Amino acid sequence: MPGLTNGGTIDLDGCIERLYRRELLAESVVEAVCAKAKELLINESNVIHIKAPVSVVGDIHGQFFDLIELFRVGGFPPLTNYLFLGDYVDRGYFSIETISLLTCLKLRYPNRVYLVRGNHESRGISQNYGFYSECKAKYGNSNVWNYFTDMFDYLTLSVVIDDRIFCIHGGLSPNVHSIDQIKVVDRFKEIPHEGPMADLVWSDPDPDKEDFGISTRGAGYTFGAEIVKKFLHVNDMVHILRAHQLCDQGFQVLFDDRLSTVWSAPNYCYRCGNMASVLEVSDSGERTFNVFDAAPENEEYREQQALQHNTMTEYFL
Amino acid sequence: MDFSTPPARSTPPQNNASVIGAHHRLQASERIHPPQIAKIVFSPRTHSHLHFKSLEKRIHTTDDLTYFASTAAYARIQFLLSFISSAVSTVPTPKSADGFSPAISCILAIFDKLDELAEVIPPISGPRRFGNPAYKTWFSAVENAVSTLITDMLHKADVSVEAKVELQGYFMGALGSFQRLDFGTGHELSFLAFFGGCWFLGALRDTSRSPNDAAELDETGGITGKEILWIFSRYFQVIRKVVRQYNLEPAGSHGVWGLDDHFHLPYIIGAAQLRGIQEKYETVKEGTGATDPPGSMLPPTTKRKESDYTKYGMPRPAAVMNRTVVADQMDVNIYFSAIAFIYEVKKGPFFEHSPVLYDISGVPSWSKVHAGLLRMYNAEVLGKFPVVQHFGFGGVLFPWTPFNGGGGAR
Repeated sequence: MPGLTNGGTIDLDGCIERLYRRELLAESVVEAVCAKAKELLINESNVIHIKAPVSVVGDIHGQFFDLIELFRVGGFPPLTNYLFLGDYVDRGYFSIETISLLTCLKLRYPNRVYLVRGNHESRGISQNYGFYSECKAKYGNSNVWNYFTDMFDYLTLSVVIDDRIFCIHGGLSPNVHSIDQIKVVDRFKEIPHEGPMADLVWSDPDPDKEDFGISTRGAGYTFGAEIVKKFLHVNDMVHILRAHQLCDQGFQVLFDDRLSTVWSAPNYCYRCGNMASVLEVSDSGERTFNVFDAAPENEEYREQQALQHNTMTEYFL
Repeated sequence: MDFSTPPARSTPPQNNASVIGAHHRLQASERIHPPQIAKIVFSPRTHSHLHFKSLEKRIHTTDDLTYFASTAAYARIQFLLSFISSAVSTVPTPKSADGFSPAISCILAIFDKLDELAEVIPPISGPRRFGNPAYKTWFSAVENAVSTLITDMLHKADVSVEAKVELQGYFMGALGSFQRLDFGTGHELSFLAFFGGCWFLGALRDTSRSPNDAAELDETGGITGKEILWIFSRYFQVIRKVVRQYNLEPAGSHGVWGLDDHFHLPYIIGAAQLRGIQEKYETVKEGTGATDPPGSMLPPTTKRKESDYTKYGMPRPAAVMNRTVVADQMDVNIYFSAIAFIYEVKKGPFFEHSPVLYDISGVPSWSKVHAGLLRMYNAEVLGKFPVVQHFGFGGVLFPWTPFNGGGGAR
């Protein structure tokens, strides 16, 4: 019987092929993939410098078919370089397939695929918003959830494109003035409730404010125009790129083109009717949002989506 | 090497402890014996001794959840859920407020005001991220108007106006987030606290029906099931309108892994309405003198299928899949009114966008549905830090003090 791991090496192409067909990897393969990913990610800095061209992706939240649609729009890896800004899991049906595929792509093309940590890549959040339930439903136990959430502790916090564009999942932190301050954060842990690491994955821009403000999310801060200007000036950058917030049009540009939000989950939660986008950054630094709608497969594979057992049913036994 | 994929559907584990948080939470709630109404409803005579305070957040970390489950506030929330569930049992949602006690008119005036303000503050056009910024205008207008309306209610009920500081906090917390333009179960919980607070203080009490009569207070608290249903149904109506009109985001939705993007309480209350009928009429064997169920539950004209309705004309849990039944039932039952909203806002087949509600439609009885929804509420709403971290605690209504078996801090 053909295996996907053999003496410690993983057949990544085999895994990727399976995952494109939306077939789950065996538990032991996930364990090996996550172990390998940790070895790779541990060597990445908290601030990774990369070069354009690169396509930047926002929240996906387990909407696997829409991720494939995104690849159709933006090109499949490794022909297109990708920077994913986090929130791969929770809420949608296919968090496991989504994070399995992205992790395998990262291992297979480590310099063409980058994965940044989002606030949902944590035990505390993913235990509550679907990923944990999904692991229990699809594997019958929580081992896979443990492998992935342990791996999440190794994901980087930020990426800089061409020394010009600063990319994070959430936003800025009152504790981070210079990007160098991010480099010294000990990131190999669960996302804390406060401090720079929490702020980078939780904060939101506030177009009506100038300064930092209290965030009603209960973590991170809101930050206004003056903060963005100052941060870009101090760090000699031109733009901040982030995800973390639903956008009706799939993206939003704020503060005189100093900050963009990119959102990649179309028709979020089956009801928001929103568009999604992937942001292409060209070698010359031009930014183009490619907007897309929900994938047709969402309709084609309905029956299969309904077959999954939901752990919430346990309350009604 | 195992090349096979795990099965798409696993059998549900039999151990409830495997649901995160549920085990702990259930045990915590089981320890609490709901206080007697007479102890929890404040007599007007004691009002002068009450020290109302601005609401304050007290749940700062997940560790605080354990203490929360032992507080008077938590016990009162549990008490409210069980009281409301018994009070609405076998009662259809009324069609109007006709015949309600004058005490109810003040709280209803608040909902009318919210509706009226939503009418005069339409959504505005122009670029935005998601929610419509006109919601903020509506929210501020409500904030300005509601203070007077709550004062009126307190005056009429002869309740100290000092109570406003806590009641208004809960009320404004029940309308969604002004900053985030979203609405979720945390806001809904705040409404439960507002309703409970008004009721504890006697502001909803029909004095003509129960002039401080301890015996009757024990049973009804001076409010009827119909009145409770009308109050909640007006609240849900207004919120649904506001969510639609201003395009509010689901706050902290669990997506397909949760019950509903915004709500939980209408399902508990609606299942309680039907659970009663089942217990009262359908578990009684024929010929033992059971009377007919309330006629107003029956849709007058529709041809009824046995898979959707029992022979007593009560809709089965499975009937949520039939849109005709949903349309027939939405005005008489709060569970079905919530399902009708789902059909209105969600795209695609029901089983796909709402798999948890779909699974519940396979549960054989409304009693089981109701009990399950309560367990789920305790674990997924009251037991979840991201939701209850926003809940405010004051000096009187829902205090952050240990539950002492009675009305808590006095």
